[in-house]
Amino acid sequence: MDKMTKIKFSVFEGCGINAAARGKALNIFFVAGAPNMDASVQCLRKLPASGADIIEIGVPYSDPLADGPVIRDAYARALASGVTLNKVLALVAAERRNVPVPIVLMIYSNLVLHRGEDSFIGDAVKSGVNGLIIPDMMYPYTKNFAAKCRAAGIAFIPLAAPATESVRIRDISLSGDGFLYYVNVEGITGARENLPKGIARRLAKVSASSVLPVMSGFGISRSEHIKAVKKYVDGVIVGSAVQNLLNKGEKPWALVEELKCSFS
Amino acid sequence: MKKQKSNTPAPLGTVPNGYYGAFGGQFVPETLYKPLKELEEAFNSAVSDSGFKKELSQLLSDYAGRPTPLYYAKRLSAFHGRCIYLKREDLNHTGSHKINNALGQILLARRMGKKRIIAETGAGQHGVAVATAAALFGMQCVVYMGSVDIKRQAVNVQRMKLLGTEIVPVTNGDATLKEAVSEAIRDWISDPAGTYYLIGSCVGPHPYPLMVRFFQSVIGDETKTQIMKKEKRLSDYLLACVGGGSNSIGFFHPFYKTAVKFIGVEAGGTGGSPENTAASICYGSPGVLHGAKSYLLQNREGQILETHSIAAGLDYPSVGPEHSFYHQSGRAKYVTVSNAEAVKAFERLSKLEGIIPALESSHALAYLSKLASKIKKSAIICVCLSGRGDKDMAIERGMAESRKKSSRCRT
Repeated sequence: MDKMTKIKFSVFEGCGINAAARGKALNIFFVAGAPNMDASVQCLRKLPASGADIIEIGVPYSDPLADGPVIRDAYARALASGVTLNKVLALVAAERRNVPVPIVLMIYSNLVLHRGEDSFIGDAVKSGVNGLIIPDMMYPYTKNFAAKCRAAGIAFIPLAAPATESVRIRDISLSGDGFLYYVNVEGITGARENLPKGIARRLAKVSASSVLPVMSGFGISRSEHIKAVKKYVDGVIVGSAVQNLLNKGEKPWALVEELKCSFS
Repeated sequence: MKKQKSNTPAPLGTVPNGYYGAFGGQFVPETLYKPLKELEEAFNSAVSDSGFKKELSQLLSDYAGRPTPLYYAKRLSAFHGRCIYLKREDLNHTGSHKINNALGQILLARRMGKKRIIAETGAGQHGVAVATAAALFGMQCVVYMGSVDIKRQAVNVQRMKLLGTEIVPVTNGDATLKEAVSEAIRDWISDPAGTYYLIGSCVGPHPYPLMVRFFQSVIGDETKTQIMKKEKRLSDYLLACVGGGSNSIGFFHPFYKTAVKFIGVEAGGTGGSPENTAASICYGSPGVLHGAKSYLLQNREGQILETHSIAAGLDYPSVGPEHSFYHQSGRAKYVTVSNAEAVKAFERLSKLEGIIPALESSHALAYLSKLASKIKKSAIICVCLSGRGDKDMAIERGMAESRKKSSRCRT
């Protein structure tokens, strides 16, 4: 928890948030434009009040290598209805002042490189995005990119996985900002019955190696998952469970409230 | 200082951090960092182990049937008015060059203690090669294949099943090779410790492009020895089809430091616009797909396009990073031929030489019609006949019938 206070979190500070006072963070992910742009606007306006401390928006991509069926379907649907990176950035820009929490983008490498690293970072900053998660950009390639992000005042949020060694976790976390996204499972995004065995011990170790706050994601969909990990991390990320409701045209507010309550 | 002999192949170590110029690298989720590192270490140790090399070369000769002939195609040469040799990869066990890589990598998988093999396949040639190698070594094998390809390459599906392999149909997106690769990578991410991903082309994150090139270089190595024996000189041209580009990179690489000209033939499909082709270099731009920076068919937004080629094995929106490097540096020239031109070449080789080529390889053959008249009379061209065409009979029949119909309409 103490790490939350010394976050190089331009992400939080930029929004005038006292992260420490807010407690452990709940990061809620949804796909921009799925099932439609109206739903995304509603999410941006309502998720913070339901308990989201960070909002993570997935930018639709044709080949999301790290994603399971729920998020893949959402991306395909959004792309079919014409959602583009520019529309996602415009959504953030339009809603930024209505959203009292940090907004981070989850975006695949090709979309970033296609626009050009510098122009992409510039466009993201301009629209009010606070952080970037790029699931298929691996350290040490990320080093240079993360430095550019830091210079532009946007957090490059690095990822670590179950097999990432302690030294590498330290290096990865040193290169980034905001928080370390710890991928709980070997696998793709999606709800799972159980978190892997030994997750608590593993998270404690990751937290000890990381200079950034650690947020745990992948496979977290229910209160009991949060209860199992909350002691060892600075926050959790929930994606597929929320997107699954959105895909069905349902509202995720109650789920998010329930998830937030499981921290206390 | 003594100058290096001009025909010495570039050594393995010429790929710093898995980059070929600006292309290659590792653009994958962090979960694959460790398995890729282990793979690279295992590969490096294997290729410097004489026992490994001996076992592989024995398998290639006794099991796969190597060396494959370099055949002087007399009637085809007469037709085009130039001297044409065919590197007969179609005569390999399982019917294509894919077995070279499958045997090499399965030995590596066994060395790493892996029990489960996964692979992707387009035309089914790689799938059959992997299923064969897995059967030979008694390993469990799962092949991901797009549902569109399952339909158009039914014979190969049947072969894989007979060999004891489980086929997982991939139905999302275009339901062809690109989706099959994505699903295989997702499978690997879910079990990186127990599963060996046996990729079939020189694509994917480092060290795959390097490994596949290494195992396929036997094609070019043999060709070099054979052409020197027959002609007392190297050929002027090497011609090969390029989808992901494994037969062509294996064919070209040993000649890298020679003056031999390389031509890679991409699938022009029905032409007109990029998505009617699978010609990543000719119609694409640099980007990242399946873990590597390379040329891709993508739209203005950077979304990967669906592709089209009559040849399932070429129907892929990217290409091996080393080909992108060859293109950018000008070492190789990349061109396209259309579906119709490929089918014509398919029929021509069958009639002139009694050899039924794969539709993929037919793309290389088709380019002879464009190339031959433009080059000097004494030129020698070696074409990589990467596979045989039994699998393509139904497609050829369909094309021939629709041609008949449309010609009836015209009269």
